[in-house]
Amino acid sequence: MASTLAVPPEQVTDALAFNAVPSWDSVNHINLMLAVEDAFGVAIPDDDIVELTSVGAIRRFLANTGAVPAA
Amino acid sequence: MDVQPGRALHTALQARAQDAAERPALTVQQETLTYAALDAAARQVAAVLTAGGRVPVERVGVFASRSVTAYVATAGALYAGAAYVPLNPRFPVERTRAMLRRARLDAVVVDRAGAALLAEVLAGVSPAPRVVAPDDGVAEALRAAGVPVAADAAAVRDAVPPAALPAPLPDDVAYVLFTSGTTGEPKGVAVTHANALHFLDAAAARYPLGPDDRCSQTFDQTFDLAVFDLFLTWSAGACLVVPQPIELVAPVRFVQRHVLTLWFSVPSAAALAIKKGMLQPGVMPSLRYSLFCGEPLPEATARLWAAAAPASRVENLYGPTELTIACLVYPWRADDGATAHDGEADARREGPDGIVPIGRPLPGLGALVVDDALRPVADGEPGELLVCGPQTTPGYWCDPERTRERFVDVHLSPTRAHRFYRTGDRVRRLASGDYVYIGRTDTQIKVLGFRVELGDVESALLRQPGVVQAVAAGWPVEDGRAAGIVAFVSGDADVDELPRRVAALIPPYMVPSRVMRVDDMPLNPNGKIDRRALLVRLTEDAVPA
Repeated sequence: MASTLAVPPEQVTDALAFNAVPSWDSVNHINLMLAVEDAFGVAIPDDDIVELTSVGAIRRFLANTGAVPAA
Repeated sequence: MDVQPGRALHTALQARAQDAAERPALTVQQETLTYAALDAAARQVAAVLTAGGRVPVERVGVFASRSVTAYVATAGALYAGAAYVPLNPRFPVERTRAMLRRARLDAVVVDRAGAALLAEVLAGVSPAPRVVAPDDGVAEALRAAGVPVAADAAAVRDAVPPAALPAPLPDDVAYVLFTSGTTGEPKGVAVTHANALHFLDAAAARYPLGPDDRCSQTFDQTFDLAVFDLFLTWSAGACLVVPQPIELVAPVRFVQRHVLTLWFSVPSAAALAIKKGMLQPGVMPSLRYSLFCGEPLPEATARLWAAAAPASRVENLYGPTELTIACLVYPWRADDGATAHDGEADARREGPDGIVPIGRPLPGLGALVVDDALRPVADGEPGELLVCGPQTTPGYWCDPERTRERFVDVHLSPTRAHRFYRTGDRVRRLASGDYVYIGRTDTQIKVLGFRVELGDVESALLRQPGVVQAVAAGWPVEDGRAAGIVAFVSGDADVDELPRRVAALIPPYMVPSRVMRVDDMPLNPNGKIDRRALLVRLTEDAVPA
């Protein structure tokens, strides 16, 4: 995530959200979704793409799909 | 100009409030306003702006984005006889303050998002514009932050609209938009009612809409293509459907959910849908018109979009703000370029690298391709595109020098000169009569359709301690479009910190995604910094993971 969004790793917290940093724009949102799909072997449905607007939301989505253990 | 007196940008909206009163005019998230409701709310805003019709107002800022208040305020400013000046709450405070100072606003209407930043924006602005806050609870928060509020939610609700609203003249300014300026200072473009109506009349003839149409509003209001969205939709009595920023990443889903019949966006929005595999054949059967503008449209994007929206006409529009919304248009056809060796298709086919042509001038406009000395070049030869006609705006706001540079008289005959706008775009005229875009004559680029003067980015970087030289470039470039910006600096500044620092000065789409330190700036034979050589270094260097 840090590399896709070009932010320092310590900035990647659950609170980091779409449009909160210049690099998390619409283009990078799609790049981020594709990177998450690749890294975790999941398919993100279109309806979820517009809901996964923070690191926390992405983390919860991955936990719900079983791709990562729930925190 | 051929616009009849008494007719203004918003006149048709007022007429629809009479003849289509209960039809939906605007949908923002869960809220829908009828024409009657939108018109009534705009009249109330106009009433407080003009103190019941007693005080004339010339320019009204709309410091709001994608909220009901943003649209009501836009209409309300026009109803008050003023020009509206859209300001984006997502832009850095310092930049918004610079626009506000330059525009010399009489009043500003804020929504919740704008109000959160208003105290900071108004700091040091004198005289401060009168503040109108139509949303519940917003005025209280502003007053607590020390911002005097001329009209709060109750005052707007209780306002009695004047019996007769002011009637702007055709050459009065309808809106002032600020675009990126080469010196780091945003420049304003003033557009008249007659300019805008000429375009809207051409657009209404080309895209006949009716009360059953549902149209997208993808463009930020600081972008003049939003004028198409709002006023073409409202002149037809159709419904304007407003996506929130995150919804723009999934345009197919938005079209489907709202059963849109007209889609208008930058090609980048379609590119996102392609990237995520959303643009499948037949997925948008409701669309009648699919329009793109703001950056080069790749042929492949047009083809995939057309297949996804099979009942839709796909058109590529072109035009800088200075020429009012759009001035050239190309109707894309499925057989364009399909048979590269077929004579007719070949004559119409795309420009360089599979980019769809920008087409021909709208009725009543003239185009010319010229060399550096403003002499017309032969057909097929590259040159700068100049456009004249009733959409040519008066010029830059309070900047006669820059206006003289870009708005020039060209003698097409010994006795007659026409006033042309120099677009700075390099084009070529095909044998078919269509124009193709080749590139820029300067360092302006487009990022997601937004105009970016690279000098604007460089100026923000040069203001940072430790930066000695700064060069910005569009990067990465795909299908003729820049997805972002990269910068090269010399000096001892912390390059990792620079994007965060300049984000306080320039809008998010201008902030470099990467800054590289270059201690020996390469020079070209003219002794200027060689941008191409810098970009080569970028590809040679390992990109950090």
